[in-house]
Amino acid sequence: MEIRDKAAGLPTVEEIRQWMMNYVAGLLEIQETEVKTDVPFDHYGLDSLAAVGMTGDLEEWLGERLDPTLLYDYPTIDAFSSHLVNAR
Amino acid sequence: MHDGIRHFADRQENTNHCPKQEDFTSILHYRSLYQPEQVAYRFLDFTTENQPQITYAELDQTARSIAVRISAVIAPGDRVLLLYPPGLDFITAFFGCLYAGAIAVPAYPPRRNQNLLRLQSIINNSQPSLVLTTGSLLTAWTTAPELEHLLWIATDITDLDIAGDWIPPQISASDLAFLQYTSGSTGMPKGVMVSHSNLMHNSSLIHRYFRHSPESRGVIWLPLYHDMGLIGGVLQPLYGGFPVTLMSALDFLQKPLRWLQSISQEHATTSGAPNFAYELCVRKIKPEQLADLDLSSWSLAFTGAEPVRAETIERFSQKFAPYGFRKEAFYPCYGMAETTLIATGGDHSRLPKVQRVDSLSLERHQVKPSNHPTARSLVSCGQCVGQKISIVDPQMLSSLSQNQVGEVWVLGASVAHGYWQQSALTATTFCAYTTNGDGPFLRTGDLGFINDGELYITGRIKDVIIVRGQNHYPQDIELTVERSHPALKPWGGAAFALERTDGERLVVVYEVERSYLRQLPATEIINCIRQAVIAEHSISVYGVALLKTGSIPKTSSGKIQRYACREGFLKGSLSIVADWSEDPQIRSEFIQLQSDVQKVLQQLST
Repeated sequence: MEIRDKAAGLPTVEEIRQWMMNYVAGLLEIQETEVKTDVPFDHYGLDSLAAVGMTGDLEEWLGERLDPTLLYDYPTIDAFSSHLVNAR
Repeated sequence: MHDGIRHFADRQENTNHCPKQEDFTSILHYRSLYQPEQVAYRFLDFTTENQPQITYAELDQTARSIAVRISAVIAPGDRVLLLYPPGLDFITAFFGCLYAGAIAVPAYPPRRNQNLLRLQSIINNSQPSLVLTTGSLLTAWTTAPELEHLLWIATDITDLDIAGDWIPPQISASDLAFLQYTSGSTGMPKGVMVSHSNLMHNSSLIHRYFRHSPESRGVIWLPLYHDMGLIGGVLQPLYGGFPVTLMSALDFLQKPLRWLQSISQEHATTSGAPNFAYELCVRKIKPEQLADLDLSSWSLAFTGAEPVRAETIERFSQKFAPYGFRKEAFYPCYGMAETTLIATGGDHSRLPKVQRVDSLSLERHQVKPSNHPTARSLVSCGQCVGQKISIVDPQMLSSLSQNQVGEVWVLGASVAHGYWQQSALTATTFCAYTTNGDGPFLRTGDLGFINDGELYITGRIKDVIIVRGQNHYPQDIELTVERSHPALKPWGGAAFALERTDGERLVVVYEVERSYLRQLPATEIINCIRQAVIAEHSISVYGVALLKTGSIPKTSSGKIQRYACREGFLKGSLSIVADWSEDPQIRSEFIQLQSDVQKVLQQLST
């Protein structure tokens, strides 16, 4: 996994969304355009193990701790990414 | 009846100079007096980066205070539900219950938005007088209409001054210590009744099998409301007088590397998990993350609670050997909540035994050694020490001899007392006799055979589907599927597991209503099924097949035959109108092709 350039500053909502769409598309072997960012993860076949694993990989990319239980409160790509930025 | 067994339990090993104790309340109290400053439990909180820890003296004092508080509102023998996030508060509350002579009922704290059905069925069955939890969860849950009628106490802030008022309860060996709810179907929750003598006996077995000593060091991320986490991760370290570092299962699942890093940092000697966890480490951990990892202290890597796979042992050992992991550390074992925890375990000093047997013969319940590439590798779960294991024909109830496959039956002092408030189920499961009159045995529902004194598990009689160590009942999944789309025919389907190299995977076959056949919205139906199963059971569906109305295999009395559905699915003999799978190799066209090729080959060879 590529490490983000820290000097470029904190990622925007759009960058996080993009990262998550790319990740989910890779995992489910579908096109990025097919990933629905406003639909809960479990609605398109991502089980909780995979979703929790995704937050671990996102942690690496962001270089900051993410509480895995956030997924229960923000279960879509849109909600999760904007929460991360708003919570700063 | 269990004289020989009791004799074995009496010969307890050196548990850090702790003289023979009757139960866990006296063990904890003893350690608090003679090893007060020793750390009993440490918890790694990856969110706050805190590492709270508790000594034997602190644990004893907190448990006494909690016991005094709850004794004011409950009587000994009352059930007390424990709803805690992972952490030390669960442990102090658990011992608080034991100190009050109550029966603890550990349960999984549900998330907001999650349905409370499972918790409700546990509450209905166990009828708790009290719920213990933390302050923050208390405010979150007491407003739920299903839970508001219960009496709640938060124990994370407890006045320690009242500890002195504690009066030790009168505990006899057969008194129940806790109810271990297994993942039974929601309609029939199964609370295994574990007594104080069960706990003492099984703890002495684990101590002996695992060769624990005061020098042992544990690391455990298994959920503490689960038998493996509670008895293996909390009670065993106290029994053996060695420290253990705990962490949350979610933190492990988020980054499996954390488990291995904790073992490395703590110089842990003993740690383990179900097979899937080792598999996850192999798949997810990247070589560049491993630079500082040192697993050379890890002498016992137990694996149990779901089928132990030879491929996983091989892959994990290979991947982590450069970081000091020794394949000999792998310790396959067999057990379940109904046997308190452990029933059989291997010889610690050598590699786990693996037998390669012909898979077709195995389906006919025969054991035939084979070196063919399609042979199945079976990992030995070791020997039964201090209890008795018999392999019994599940229909005829006659004892079988070596190398014959039958149901695994267990008799001994670790066998629990039955299922709480389920007398019929308790009688059929816990009080079985062979045709020779041997018994009473526990019927495990697992199939296996004994070879050279060691137990090999080959499958299950029951249709339970085990994914990542969790039992799922096909009836529950079928109900979810049926409700997910109106095109699915009520009582018209089956859920079953397929063995894959990385574990069991769920397949669903379902008939569609005749009215939908002409213009079948197949993709829509399949998506509904997948979403509903993930949402309600947290497992993903590996394959779905929609069947022609009235074509599913049934018995003469009209019951769906899950086994026949599975066979038909694998052979390609079901009347499939549409299907989908994560793995294209199990889609119907492929299976059809495969079975055609097979037929041609058979014709050629005859």
